[in-house]
Amino acid sequence: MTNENKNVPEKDKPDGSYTVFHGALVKKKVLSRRAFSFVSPGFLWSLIFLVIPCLALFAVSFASRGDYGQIEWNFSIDNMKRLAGFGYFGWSADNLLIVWRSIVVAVVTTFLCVVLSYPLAFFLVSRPDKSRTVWLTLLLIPFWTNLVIRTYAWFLALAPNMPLAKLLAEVGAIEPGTALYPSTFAVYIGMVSMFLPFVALPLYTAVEKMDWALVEAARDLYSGGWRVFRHAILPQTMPGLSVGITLTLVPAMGMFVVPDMLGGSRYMLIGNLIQQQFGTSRDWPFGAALSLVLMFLTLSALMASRRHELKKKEA
Amino acid sequence: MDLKVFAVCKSYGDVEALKYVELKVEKGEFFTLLGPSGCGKTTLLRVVAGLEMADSGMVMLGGEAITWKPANERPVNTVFQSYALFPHLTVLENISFGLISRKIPKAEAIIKAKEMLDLVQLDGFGDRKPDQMSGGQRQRVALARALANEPELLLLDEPMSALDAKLRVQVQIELRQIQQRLEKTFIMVTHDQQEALTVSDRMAVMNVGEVAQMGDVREVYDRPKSKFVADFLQTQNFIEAERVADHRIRTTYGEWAVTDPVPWEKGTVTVRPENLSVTSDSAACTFKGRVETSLYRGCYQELFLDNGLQVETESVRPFAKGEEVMVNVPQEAVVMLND
Repeated sequence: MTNENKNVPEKDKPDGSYTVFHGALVKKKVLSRRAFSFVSPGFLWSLIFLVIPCLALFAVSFASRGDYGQIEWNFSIDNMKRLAGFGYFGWSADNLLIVWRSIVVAVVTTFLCVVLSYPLAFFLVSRPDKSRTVWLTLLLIPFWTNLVIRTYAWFLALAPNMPLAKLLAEVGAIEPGTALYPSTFAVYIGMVSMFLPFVALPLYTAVEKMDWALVEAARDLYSGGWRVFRHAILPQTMPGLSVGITLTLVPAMGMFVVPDMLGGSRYMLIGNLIQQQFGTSRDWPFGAALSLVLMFLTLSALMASRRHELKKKEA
Repeated sequence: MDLKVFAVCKSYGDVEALKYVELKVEKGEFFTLLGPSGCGKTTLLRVVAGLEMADSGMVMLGGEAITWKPANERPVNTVFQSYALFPHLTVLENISFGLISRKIPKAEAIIKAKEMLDLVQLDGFGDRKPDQMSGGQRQRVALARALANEPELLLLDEPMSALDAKLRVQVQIELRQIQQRLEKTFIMVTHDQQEALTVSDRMAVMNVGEVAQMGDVREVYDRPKSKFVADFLQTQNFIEAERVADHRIRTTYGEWAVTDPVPWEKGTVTVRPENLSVTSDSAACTFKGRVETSLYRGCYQELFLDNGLQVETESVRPFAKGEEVMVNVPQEAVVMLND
């Protein structure tokens, strides 16, 4: 009896080339082939459509512009010099100022989004299940609307005969009959409304999973509001917050549609400058150099935050 | 300080968690709120801690009304069920957290925190993070963190529910010793009657938002007043009885002499299985029964008799199914229930 029982599986026992994958018996070779075939399309895609263009950008940035806007393949670092401000008429800080302004706009936008998102996330979490879906949908609607349409909607909202402009004129903050755009204020309104869901949604998921006992413990241990936030809320929502910040800071740095439309010609950011080089100016090499600067800025910001996280994990 | 709770009510929507609860805890006492889940014991503790506001009623600590004070203004600290240690802070930082919150100089707070580490026998663990410690160690850190503030009242919310049985007994003993050394008022919430009996001076048994019985642990254990309390403290045998005389009742098992005066004409009495004994002396036999099932429990065995009663007896010999046994019911073991 026992011999029979033992013999049957012994005969069928798979050799070493098999492995158990989530309960299924699979040949090791098949498994690795399968894994490779799953990974490779995405890998190829990013190789062809991301890595190669980036390398092209890098190459073009060392070329120079021909008289008719064509690319002339003579190695030069003139574009870098020009970026640093050395032009035909001596040094000017214009380009560097544009880069600096882009950083400021991105950082301020991110900061405003974070400040607005915390109360929003707590508000969403405290809603009963039924109405929470409605509030989340309201937050998501801008996501489903085209950026240009959204920005034109702000044109309407900030127009001279709209309540907001009228109210400000009444108070005396602006001249009667003027629109609220183009202005710095309009740029930030556009930017924040564009990026708010990117911070609010990850933060909402983090707040939803929060262990409120820590907040209670902090309260129980005589903490005031700031101390509760610093030690009970911030560490717990940090994962969501860092995702939100990354999703906002990086694209905000290169944003050009919103500042172009709501900030007017005076509000030049690096995104606008790049778009100009590839567009009207037909100066691809300089545009490529600017793009590299932008990529360098965002990548170094990401690396810095990544290193910070790794250090924290080690400690 | 002593704690008084007057007519506290609290409801969540339609659910009444607390219904006119009255409580009095003396200074330096280890008091336990005991009850099944959903009886309102944790809600009551949270009302005392200031983590929950009473809908009505009054909470007084040392003669001062604290009903509407927020948690961070009460001289009360809590050991949370999940411990709620700050994961990004070290053990020492966790313990000194409350002191730093109250603007006590850092050096002083560290000294105090080290003292507390010593008290809970964790010296040398100060630089660890909570996730590098075992459940029992974390529990001690939570205790040290609460005690570092020298609270007038320490609240413990099911502090041992996450520990395994063996460790639990050890922690119970330590907790009792710490309480007696510090002479502080401790209030603990638990659903484990053994734990309640082991550590506390007095306890309140709660049932659906009300205090069913409150008193000295021995008194509550030996003389439960209602079916609920008796059942929760595992008396097992409930017997319908009629009054014959002042200290005599008639049951389906015959007429019994009892120590307590009989308060009713017809009612229920209860006897703990461990107070009943199997006897071979026919003079001491109160009633006879046949063994239906016998369960071996190590140091004792449980006999389920065919008449519905349960007896605990020594494990000297096994009992066969159907064997007739003579059972002795001591007079003082019979408890009159009021409902």
